[in-house]
Amino acid sequence: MIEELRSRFGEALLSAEQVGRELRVSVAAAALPEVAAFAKEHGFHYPADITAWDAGDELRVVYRLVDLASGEHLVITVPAPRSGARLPSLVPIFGGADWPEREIYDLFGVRFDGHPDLRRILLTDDWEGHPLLK
Amino acid sequence: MTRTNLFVDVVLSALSIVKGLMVTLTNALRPRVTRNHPFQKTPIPEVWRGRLVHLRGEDGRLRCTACLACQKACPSHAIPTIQGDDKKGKEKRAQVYVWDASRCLFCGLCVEACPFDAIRLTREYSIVGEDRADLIFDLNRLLGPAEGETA
Amino acid sequence: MTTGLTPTEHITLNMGPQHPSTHGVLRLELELEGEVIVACRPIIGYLHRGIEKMAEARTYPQVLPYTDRLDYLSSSSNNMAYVQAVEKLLGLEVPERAKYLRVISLELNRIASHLVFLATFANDLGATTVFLYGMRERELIMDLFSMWAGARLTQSWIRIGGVGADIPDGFVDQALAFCRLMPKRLDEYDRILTGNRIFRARTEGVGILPPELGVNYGASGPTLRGSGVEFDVRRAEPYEVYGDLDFEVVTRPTCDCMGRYLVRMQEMRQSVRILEQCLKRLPEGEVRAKVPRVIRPPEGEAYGRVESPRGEFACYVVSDGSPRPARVRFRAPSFYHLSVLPRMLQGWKVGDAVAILGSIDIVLGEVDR
Ligand code: SF4
Ligand code: SF4
Repeated sequence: MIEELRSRFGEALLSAEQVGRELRVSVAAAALPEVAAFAKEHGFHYPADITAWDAGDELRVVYRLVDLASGEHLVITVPAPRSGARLPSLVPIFGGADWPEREIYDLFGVRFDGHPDLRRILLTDDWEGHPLLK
Repeated sequence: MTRTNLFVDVVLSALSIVKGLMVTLTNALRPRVTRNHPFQKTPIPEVWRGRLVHLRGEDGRLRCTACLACQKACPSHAIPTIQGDDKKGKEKRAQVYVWDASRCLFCGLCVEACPFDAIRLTREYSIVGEDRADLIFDLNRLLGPAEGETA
Repeated sequence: MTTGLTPTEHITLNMGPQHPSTHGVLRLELELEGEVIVACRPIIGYLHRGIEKMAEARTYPQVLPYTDRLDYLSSSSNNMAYVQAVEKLLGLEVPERAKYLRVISLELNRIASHLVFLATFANDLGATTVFLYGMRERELIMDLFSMWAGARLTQSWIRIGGVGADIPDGFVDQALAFCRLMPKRLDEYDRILTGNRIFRARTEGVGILPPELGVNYGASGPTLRGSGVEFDVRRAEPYEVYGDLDFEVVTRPTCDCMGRYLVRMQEMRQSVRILEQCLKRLPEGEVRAKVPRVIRPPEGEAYGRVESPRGEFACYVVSDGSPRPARVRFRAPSFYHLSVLPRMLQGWKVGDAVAILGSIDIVLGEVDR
């Protein structure tokens, strides 16, 4: 899988390592939809978790896709700037990305291009700021 | 739906209701499991995590040495103030100790953290007051039984 | 029509946030054409307490009591997911007895939670009697938890390194007695509810969730298994001692409310089976590993994954090497189930909304966090 990803995405694949059952890759934002679609074709149908965290100098948005048949995890980390970040939305590929992306927008301020309904979800609409930023 | 089908359906539905009624009947004949609270007391197990108390040693003095370990362990700042007298080390005893029941999660981390086994969470579960201030307990209201007495 | 409404006129109906069948504070904005739902917008966040933010300001052991307050009907599974992630970070091995005790606690909680589901689901559909029965049996589990953990719901008894304390005397006997009683009571529920004509009419074929849609939306647990997908974290990634235990992953192919209901009913029987095995095999020994006073996991990230009564409950913990986690994220199954709800409601009547919402068994505590 790593080899295939590498040959296909080249530069866009920032890093890749296998940790137990998890294949952890880091990709550039622009390549995200293609990597996700590629993963889905290869059996990773289940969007287990989509979240983000503030690493201090940048945000990391983490997509965990699981292959229910083999039990393998594919963890895609996408670095993003701490303010004004824009990422392509995965909603067209995974319906399960809808609410988590809204949550990341709500709590971290990352905008997802192509999201059908990007509103705050946990906080009220008139809330100022994004509380999970450090 | 044809006539016979309708007939079968009605009979089966009626039977399912009769079957259900048999269950309610058996249950109606079982001894009752509810209690008439608050007139009838519910037995509360010894390990219950309810109201906090301070224990006293054999000499009748508080065990708490105001070491602040419980305060540091508490996740929700439910123990805002602890002050000791001016003695040192193990001789030191708490003079002020505030426990805020309205913030407490009853997790028991404070009890686990205490190196002197000075506090307990007790079986008292009904902690009520008329305003918030009633739920803030000072040392006078936190005194538990001395060694040997039962709660 | 005398109402003056033409069939094309849509009205918006708010269900909740204070509505008994929303099981907490959830608002569903339903767009109706007559009585038929054409669109639904779930509005959540009423119970948001910022637990993920609070966790950043707490030490590792201090986060634990907060996890109880997520899925409050099954606090052990929340504790387990968090503890599992932290233990992965620490590389901590837990004593064998503690692993069994954890499974006992998890399965008791699963039965308790499914009983609440049964009770409220039946109540929503008009069978009030079953509500009382479900709550009655659940009380037996609550008694077991109070004598062991000293709390009914917010136990925080699965701790980093093991469990809070060993079980008291008499616990095993009382739990085994419960295991003997429960299947008989389940038969009773089946007799009064499962076969009932009205109940069947309201659940069979209602609220279809196609398996592909469910997987695509990240649905899990009984909600997904009711659509025939055999996915159970206990089987897919066995934690604690689930790998050594004998149990079935229950599925139903019907994709409807009835399917999801039947999966939960059967799961309770499987949980009883697991409990019996654990109680009989329970090894002697310690219940808590040695854990340093200040927990300072090495830098890294870990994903703790458990099968909660509602589905895959997971906790993603990122450590920066300090005594406080850099990020704690809870992946709540109900969150995903609610996001697919609008798709399940489309085309059904308002009355069915109650059944469909009930059948995905949400807990708002974990949705809003
Ligand atoms: S029980 Fe928990 S929340 Fe309450 S005072 Fe003790 S440590 Fe604090
Ligand atoms: S109760 Fe225990 S931990 Fe808290 S200050 Fe007193 S001696 Fe220290």
